[in-house]
Amino acid sequence: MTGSPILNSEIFEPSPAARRNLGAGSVSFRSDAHGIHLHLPAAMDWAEIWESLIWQLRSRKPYWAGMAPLTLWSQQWELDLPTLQALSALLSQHRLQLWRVQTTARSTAIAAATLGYSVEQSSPLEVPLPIPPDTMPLYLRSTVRSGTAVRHSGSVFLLGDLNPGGEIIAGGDILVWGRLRGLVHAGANGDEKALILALQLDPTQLRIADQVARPPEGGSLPNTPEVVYLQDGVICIASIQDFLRRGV
Amino acid sequence: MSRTIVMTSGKGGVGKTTITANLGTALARLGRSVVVVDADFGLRNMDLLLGLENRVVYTALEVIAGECRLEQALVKDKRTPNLSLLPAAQTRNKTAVSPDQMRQLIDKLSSSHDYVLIDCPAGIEQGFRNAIAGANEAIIITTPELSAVRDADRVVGLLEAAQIQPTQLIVNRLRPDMVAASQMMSVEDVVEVLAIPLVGIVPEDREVIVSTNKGEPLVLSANPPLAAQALQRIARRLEGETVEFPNVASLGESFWEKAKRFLNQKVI
Repeated sequence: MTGSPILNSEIFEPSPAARRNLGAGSVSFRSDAHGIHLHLPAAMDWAEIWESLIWQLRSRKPYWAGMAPLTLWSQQWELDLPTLQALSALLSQHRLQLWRVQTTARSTAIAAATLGYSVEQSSPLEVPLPIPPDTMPLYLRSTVRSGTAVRHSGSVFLLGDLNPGGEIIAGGDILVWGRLRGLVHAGANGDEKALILALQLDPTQLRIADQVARPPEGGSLPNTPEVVYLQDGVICIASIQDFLRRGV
Repeated sequence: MSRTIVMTSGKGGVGKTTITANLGTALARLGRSVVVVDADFGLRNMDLLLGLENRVVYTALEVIAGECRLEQALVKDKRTPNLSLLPAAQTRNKTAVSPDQMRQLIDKLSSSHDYVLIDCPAGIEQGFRNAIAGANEAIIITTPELSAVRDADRVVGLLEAAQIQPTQLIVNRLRPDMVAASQMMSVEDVVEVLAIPLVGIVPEDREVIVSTNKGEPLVLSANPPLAAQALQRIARRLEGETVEFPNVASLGESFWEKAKRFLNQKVI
């Protein structure tokens, strides 16, 4: 046994029965054979959507080559011509070509058609299909600052610091190539094998599956990358060397 | 090319208004034409700090409503000829103006001034959005406290999303004696978290309170105290000059303390 269990480890909520789409409820991207899809959440302030969109476009490393076709799932959002034009301009800065708009709002459909996009209009009464969760690893290059929450159904790789007040919640593993000082939740859909890795681990709180732990108080930070994992229902920390020696 | 800089912090009480008033005065004394905009509608303070309260006739609100011309609302500071103030309305609140109206106002001001300094209200709501709307760069003001740094970090993120660049940092109310005793975050600790370039360090100084009560910016005094010297250095850095950061330990000492340290060194 090389890992030291963290004190204060405790269960914080029952295991979720079904896999949740962690990206739902926020601005989310996914890709399939038709290209990239951008989903706008229904319940969010437009200014917040815009901020989240800019942050994600700046932080995500594009995995597509050249200009990729993009479908906008705008739900009930009523987007006028200038808004759609601004959105299209922002997307094209990041090599995304808006070509199709899915909407339940009549005004958005008219604006999109005016601008020459393909429009798919569905009745607001139709039950929207659940968005399939994107379980591809998410690669981010940024500082995750206070007030920013990254939610993703797959693993998250962050090149940069996670500051206090920032959060990463992932269905898979979380790797922070930088200082981890905020809150992280790996295996948020109940995966007890999920790991948290950081070059420097100084978190506010750690969560794996349905366990939560506070780091031990005081003490100096070891100058080595560390791994956090779940063993027999207890959250443990080990240096990366010790962890790998035992075999992943 | 004029510069429109929003002075912001997230948290209240870290010294935004004091620093804005003094920085505006210091830049004006370097020969630049400066206008300081109080964007704190409903809680205006800038006129008090500059000692111009009784000269306010019109405010930004009347300009926006078209009830007066922009020039009529600008209050000139007699002690500092290049400096003027655009006061905020005290009687209304932050929803009285929109980001678009602020942007137009700041655009107009920037065509006739070298610097437009916008004093942002605390918080990240509508008042903040109005204040940043017309800015093309930002200065973050924080004190070396966890809560202030946390809020400043949030604001840096919001400014990034609003695509306001560059963003620079002033650490205010530093107490070198407490940093030395590990009782206060050091400037390095703050910069490490926020990861933005540092433009100035202002030490805690009791003279600030005296000057606030007199309505006379600190940088105007004949014998500028340490905090005022720090602000003058920030003004020169904004002007593009390379000004060394003095040793932090020397920021908090009086002349006599400095002399004593010097003598002690000689003895040893």
